[in-house]
Amino acid sequence: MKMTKALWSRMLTLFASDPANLANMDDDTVTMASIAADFNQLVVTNISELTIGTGVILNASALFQASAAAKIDPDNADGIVYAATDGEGFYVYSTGSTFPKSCYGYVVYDQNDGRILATEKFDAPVVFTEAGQIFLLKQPHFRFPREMLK
Amino acid sequence: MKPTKALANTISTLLAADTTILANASAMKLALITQPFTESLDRLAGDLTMASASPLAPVAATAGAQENGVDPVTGELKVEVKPPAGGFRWETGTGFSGPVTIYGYALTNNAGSSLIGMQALADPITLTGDNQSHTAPAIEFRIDPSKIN
Repeated sequence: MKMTKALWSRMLTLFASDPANLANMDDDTVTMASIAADFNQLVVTNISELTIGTGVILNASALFQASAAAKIDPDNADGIVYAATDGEGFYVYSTGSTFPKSCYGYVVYDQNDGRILATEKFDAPVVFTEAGQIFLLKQPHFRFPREMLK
Repeated sequence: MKPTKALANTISTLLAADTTILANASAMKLALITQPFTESLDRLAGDLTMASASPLAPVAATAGAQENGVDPVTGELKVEVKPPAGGFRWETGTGFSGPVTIYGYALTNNAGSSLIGMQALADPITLTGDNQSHTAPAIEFRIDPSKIN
């Protein structure tokens, strides 16, 4: 059965506001980190399976806050569930003295048990060659293409 | 971002238990659509011609939380609308003033004012006389979580 936009929108809202997952994303429980080695998005489930970047730090103090937001893309009616940004936005920056350092993407995970909720993998790793470099991230979000509805 | 399978799979669970729409205490209803239509995300109740009078009046589903699960073959998430006892079934009875052609089904809220979903029949069915019956197939929504990115 094909759902209507009313149910489609409700689905996005439920996903964004689920207190067991995205709506629990604040700095006390769920956070983000940069990933310093190649990884498979389809299989990782726990933060222990990833190499977390040291000296390549992800700034994401706001993340999804109390609840992610859900909206519809006006171009194609895709659903978008996105993270609120803090004052500085989302970026990865380098510190320390040993270079080069690579960043392959970032992960959203629960600090309590290491459970991974989502990952973003860059098309190619970002290579930092010295301290003080910055790589701006697009706003963390989930895209729900309407083609996913059968 | 790519959600883990565990996170993506929460979608059908949340939908099936959502008291705002699918798990509302007032049972949803399944109506027969009696004019040609095309399925669309943008479709509204007023766009469709639904049979409203006996013996082809909308049939109430089972109220409350609906069923949900994962298709073991495709990995698609399923939210299954629970039919009433006896299924979503219509029977013309006696004195039927047909013919009436069924082009598909519309799932609405209890009042019939809000369209939740629709399903077109590949081959419309025409009821022509007394004592003819029709039972709808399983009513379910399918979602492919692998497309989330």
